[in-house]
Amino acid sequence: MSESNKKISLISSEGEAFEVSEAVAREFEIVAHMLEDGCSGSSIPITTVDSNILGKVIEYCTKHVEVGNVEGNSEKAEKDLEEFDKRFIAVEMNTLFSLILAANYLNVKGLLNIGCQKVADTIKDMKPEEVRSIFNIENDYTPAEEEVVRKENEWAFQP
Amino acid sequence: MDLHVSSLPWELEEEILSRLPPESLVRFRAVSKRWNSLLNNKSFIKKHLSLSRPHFIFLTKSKICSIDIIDQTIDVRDSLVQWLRQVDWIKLYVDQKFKVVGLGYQYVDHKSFTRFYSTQVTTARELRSTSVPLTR
Repeated sequence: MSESNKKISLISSEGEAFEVSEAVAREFEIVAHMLEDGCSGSSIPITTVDSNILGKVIEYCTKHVEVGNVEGNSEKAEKDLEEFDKRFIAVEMNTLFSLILAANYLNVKGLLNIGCQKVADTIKDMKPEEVRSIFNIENDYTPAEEEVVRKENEWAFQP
Repeated sequence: MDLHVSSLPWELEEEILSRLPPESLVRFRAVSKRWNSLLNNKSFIKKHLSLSRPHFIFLTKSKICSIDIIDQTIDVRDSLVQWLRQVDWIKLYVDQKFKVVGLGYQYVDHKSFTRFYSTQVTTARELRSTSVPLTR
């Protein structure tokens, strides 16, 4: 595909331009749709994503496009990609949430999937109160109601 | 470590929750009323089951085992008694050579589950599955 040499600029919320190949930009489904809808501009504003996060999402997509382009993809390449994903997603919770939000907005399914899985793996052994603070959820139970729910599901609270 | 983060939209919370093991989901009923009601939501349960690995509990006359299927290998472990409250047992046709008393599928709440059954329990291949909403 000769088109893959074409460059596209993705503009972060701070106005910073990231130049990427069209193949990488198309990993953002939202961008792919824009291009298909005849948006021929070479710069696309991504107004809800800041430079730090946009840079990371581009890094993720670039790696996945590179590996996807290798002919006769070996098991080793797949392993490497898995390792890359694992390292890529090993970030603190704030960044992880920002990545998930960006992946959801830009519609990068692979990243959304590994991001959500990472959060799930991180919280799975936590207490409800820890989870509330991570997700910024207000406890809307009265103490009595909460006690009932905990009692009913007591087995899941055993360490 | 500051873990405090601004809220995610509800649809993304759901995405994350659908990837949790059943035990965590049951514990997180205590997080909020909304999270609690999510576990009673049939389409959420369906989504959760579609993402989770098949997991059976196998009961013979002498033993209870948990059977986990990971990447086409079958991992059999001794009983996980804490699951038993969450399992609905299906009586199977009793084959004289193969003494099976029941086969259960682990499920998240009492409103919905996937039923695995067999007319003749001789090989695993004969197991078929259907999704049956169960109302109590």
